[in-house]
Amino acid sequence: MSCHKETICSITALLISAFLTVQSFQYPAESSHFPRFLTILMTFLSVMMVFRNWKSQNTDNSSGFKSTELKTLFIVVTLTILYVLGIYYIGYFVSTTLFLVIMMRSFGHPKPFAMALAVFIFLATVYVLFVVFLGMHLPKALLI
Amino acid sequence: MGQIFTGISSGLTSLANPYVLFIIFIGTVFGVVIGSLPGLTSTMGVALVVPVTFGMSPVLGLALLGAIYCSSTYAGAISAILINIPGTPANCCTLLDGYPMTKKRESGRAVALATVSSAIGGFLSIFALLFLAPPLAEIALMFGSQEYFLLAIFGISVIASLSETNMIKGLWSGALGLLLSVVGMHPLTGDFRFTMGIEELYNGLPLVIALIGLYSIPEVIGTLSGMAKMTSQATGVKGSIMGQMLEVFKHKMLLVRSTIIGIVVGIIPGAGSSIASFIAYDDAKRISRDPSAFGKGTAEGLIASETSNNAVVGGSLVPALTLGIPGNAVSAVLLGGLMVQGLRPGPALFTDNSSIVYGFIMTLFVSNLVFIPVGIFVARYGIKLIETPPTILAPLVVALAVIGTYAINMSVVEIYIMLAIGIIGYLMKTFNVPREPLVLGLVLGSMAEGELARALLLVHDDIFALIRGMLTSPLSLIIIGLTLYSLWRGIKKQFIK
Repeated sequence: MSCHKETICSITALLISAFLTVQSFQYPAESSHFPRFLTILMTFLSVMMVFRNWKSQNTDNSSGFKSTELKTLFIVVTLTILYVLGIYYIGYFVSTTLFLVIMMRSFGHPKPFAMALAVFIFLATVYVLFVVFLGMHLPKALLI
Repeated sequence: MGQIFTGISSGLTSLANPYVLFIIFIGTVFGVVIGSLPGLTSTMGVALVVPVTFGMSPVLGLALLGAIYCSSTYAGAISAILINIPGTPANCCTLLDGYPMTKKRESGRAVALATVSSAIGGFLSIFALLFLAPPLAEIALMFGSQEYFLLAIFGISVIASLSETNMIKGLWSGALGLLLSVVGMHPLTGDFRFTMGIEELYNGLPLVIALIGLYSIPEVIGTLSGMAKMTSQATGVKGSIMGQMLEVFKHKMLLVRSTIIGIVVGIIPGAGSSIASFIAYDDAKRISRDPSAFGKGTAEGLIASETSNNAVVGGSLVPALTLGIPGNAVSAVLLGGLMVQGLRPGPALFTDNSSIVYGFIMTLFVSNLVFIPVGIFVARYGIKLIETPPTILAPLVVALAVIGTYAINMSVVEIYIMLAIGIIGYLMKTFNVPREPLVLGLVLGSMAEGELARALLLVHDDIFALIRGMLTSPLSLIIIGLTLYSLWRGIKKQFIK
């Protein structure tokens, strides 16, 4: 995918600002003076970005998105969402172990011993610091 | 003055007790651990220990709380430098130059600089507390709602300097940060804004969650997708550590200026360490011979940030001890610890309980020295973490971000919020939209809106009366002047070449 990054940036900023402006006008006036001012300012700044990008279009050929980064973003976000769901339904320690191992393997880490050691040290540290020392209650689920 | 020296001598006798020194050491270790973990704040660390002080003598209890306050404020620099996640909000400016130094294989130097800068800022601010508490407290009382609002605007004007390379994007980012700060309930009317029906947002967007998301997720993605070129390699805190630490003294004027900024911001109730950090950073950039080096791993940026945020410690205790008005959340909790010991803050505190108060102040001096070896020791092993392959380190950072976010309010929904902010942070990094103005907007926005609303209430919503009040108040005029100068400097650099 080859995209003009600055064009996408400025148009995205404009769309976000416009959406937030519409949202801010849906709240009662006495509690939204400040948000309205900010969203209008953001819209104005977005228009300036679009205008400046349009003016410099002939000279600026910035590269598009890197597909490796998009792929990494997708993997990280998906795994983290599944991880958080896992904490809620399976339990913190089991889901953290699975998450760490799957993510390390996804990015090609070859040494099982190093992975196991890292997971053990991390979980032990979390248990001692957060659970024992700080008395934090981790979510109760099917497993630990 | 005679009373001060009498108090100092009685305070020094407290230090002769080995239990006091031991408690300071314990508090320092605890504070360093708490501060260096993202998601755990100084306020949390001090609050957790207040019940423990119930059974202690006043000096021991206050020494413990003070040691945690000093060391946790500093220790957030360790994670900011090593893994680009500020341990506490006070260190969000530290990563601007701290993490680039790690990328340049100078993590040891960065940690050494941060440690000594923090110690100096904290140490000097305690002198201010000791000798200048009453007059500084008078200045704190002069700040009303309009001055607070103007102070927030002055802080926001720093955005113009932070986003020098692309001011329009920086201002947009700052405005977005301000907008994120108004998420939740209006401070006076009680109306909910931008919550999207999510209960966890009714009280606003927690700053720590935003910091964790904004800086951890984009860095993880960048590290994992660019593994062919290792970006974070550390050098240890070893060898010429003394040389690395003493480098701080090449910037004496910077140390003094940043300390003064930290003390002044600290005495203003509600202003906070993160504001001091940004203002000092901006000031350092302005007077630097090479402003373009800021943000790329310059010692000056790191020193300014760390000196000022620890200088807030002494400053925040000035109104707390003399007037009973806490300078920030941590000093508010510390006041609670004070009252648990049967001490009432106020002008009489320094006369009726001089041995305890001056003993506490003396222990703060010691705390600012003890965290130097403790911090360097922790950092030595923290730096080994950076030598871990990115395929192991990056997943651990995500897991740490998750548990750190959960630790704040024990809410799973907030983890999703952190992740969403992380995606926003990644997009901002991809599109070269600076994130620091967003952080600054988030820090200052709620203060700006809340104080503006209160100021308008005082003048019965008469905006002209408010403007008249600002133009006739000397303090307001000073802040307005500083703001206009800051904005002009940013505009001049960006648009007038």
